Amino acid sequence: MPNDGLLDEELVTLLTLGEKDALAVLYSRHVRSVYSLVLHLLQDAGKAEEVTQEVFLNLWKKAATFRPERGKFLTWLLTTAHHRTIDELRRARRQRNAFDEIAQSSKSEVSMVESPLERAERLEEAGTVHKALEILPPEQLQVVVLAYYKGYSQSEIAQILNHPLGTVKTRMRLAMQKMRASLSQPREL
Amino acid sequence: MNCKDIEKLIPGYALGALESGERLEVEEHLETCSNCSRILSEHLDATAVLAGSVPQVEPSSSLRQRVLEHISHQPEGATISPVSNIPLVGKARQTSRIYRAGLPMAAALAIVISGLLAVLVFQLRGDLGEVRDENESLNTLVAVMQGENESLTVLVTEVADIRDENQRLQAMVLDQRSLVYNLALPGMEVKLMANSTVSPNTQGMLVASPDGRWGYIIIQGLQSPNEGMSYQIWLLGSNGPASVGVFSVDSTGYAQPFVLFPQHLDLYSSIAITMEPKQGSPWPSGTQILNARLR
Repeated sequence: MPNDGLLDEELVTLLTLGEKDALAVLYSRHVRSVYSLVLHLLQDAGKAEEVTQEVFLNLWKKAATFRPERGKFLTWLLTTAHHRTIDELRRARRQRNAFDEIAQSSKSEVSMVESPLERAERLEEAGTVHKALEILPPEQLQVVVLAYYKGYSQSEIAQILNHPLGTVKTRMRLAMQKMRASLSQPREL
Repeated sequence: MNCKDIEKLIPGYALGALESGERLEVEEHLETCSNCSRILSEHLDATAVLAGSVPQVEPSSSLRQRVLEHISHQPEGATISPVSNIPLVGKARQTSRIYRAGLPMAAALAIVISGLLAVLVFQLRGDLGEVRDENESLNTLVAVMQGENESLTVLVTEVADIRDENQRLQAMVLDQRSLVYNLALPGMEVKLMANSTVSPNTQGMLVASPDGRWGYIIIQGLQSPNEGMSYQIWLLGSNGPASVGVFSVDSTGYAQPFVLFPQHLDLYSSIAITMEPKQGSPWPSGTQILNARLR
């Protein structure tokens, strides 16, 4: 493709001019990262493809909302995909009557005190969890997993863990501080 | 919201843990605040690592075809948003010029109009989705508010109960003041009452006025009457028993009923208390609890 050699940020500029080839190149470069994240959260290949499609169509429609001075394109794209996926997760939960679900499964969710950790340990053993997570104490790892990978809001996490909302926010803030500090040499995704 | 408020929300934003309303507030603030944008950028670098840590999976090949087919129905240059700040490389700028210069005027006009319509429809669909999302958020908020409202109703009921209890206590204080005042009157006569074997821990006394027409029965250690029953006070004399009234006791077994005697107390030989049906009995029929001889 003629645009293959351009930077992501240059391709986004072409998108704002309606160059479809630019979207094809960006798709080829990043669909795997986007789809993998969406699939990991939704655990449903069909829905994951639907959301991934929306993410790239949204990129086509709203490319001009990307601000290169605010960070890398891929980070922006993954954030967009993550937020869209979380909306989908929450919508599905609401349809299943979220409050009843939380109340009924609170025991099993509380047992996720172990489950996310076990999962984190398993992923860690497989070498798939970045070092940024290794430095988190269990209580901070827990809120990060419930928020980022499970799509729960801060107030839902407080309800699930039976902790005050302020405690959950504090743990998130501390976790983010540690993760940022560990990224003194960020890797290229 | 100011920068301080937004900074507190940024970790939750980066982790996707905000409610949709909070997320929107953060994004609106970022439009105009470069400092908060910089802080968020650092957070997003960290969460991008989380995104990259998941197992990598390829989507089906048909997905690429669907995405590209979808945008192929839209004309070149369909996006109407402002161009970002990245300068175009020469080749790309040249390509863009060719697109514009090569089309006849009428065809170009038709393409532009159909393109604008297509974009409008596409955007409207997007807006409709956002409105739906917002509507769902509002429904959730309404459900939460209804829960709060129910809690408030319970609280109001509790306050009303406390107010009732307060009024009852105030009435009790007034009764006590009245009792103390009357007991201190000169010439008040006190008679201790004897208990029976059915109520061995009960103590009682009659405090009668000097004119023998009224007084108090003061009782403690008396159990609440059985269900549907109450205690009844009798004056016994040569004309048979005369009912003075019925009463109950409080939760501590205490009572101080004020009584008016039908005739002068000297005309009766004794006073007694029995357990009778709740509305009172025409004749003493229950077990005697306390009694005292009057002469």
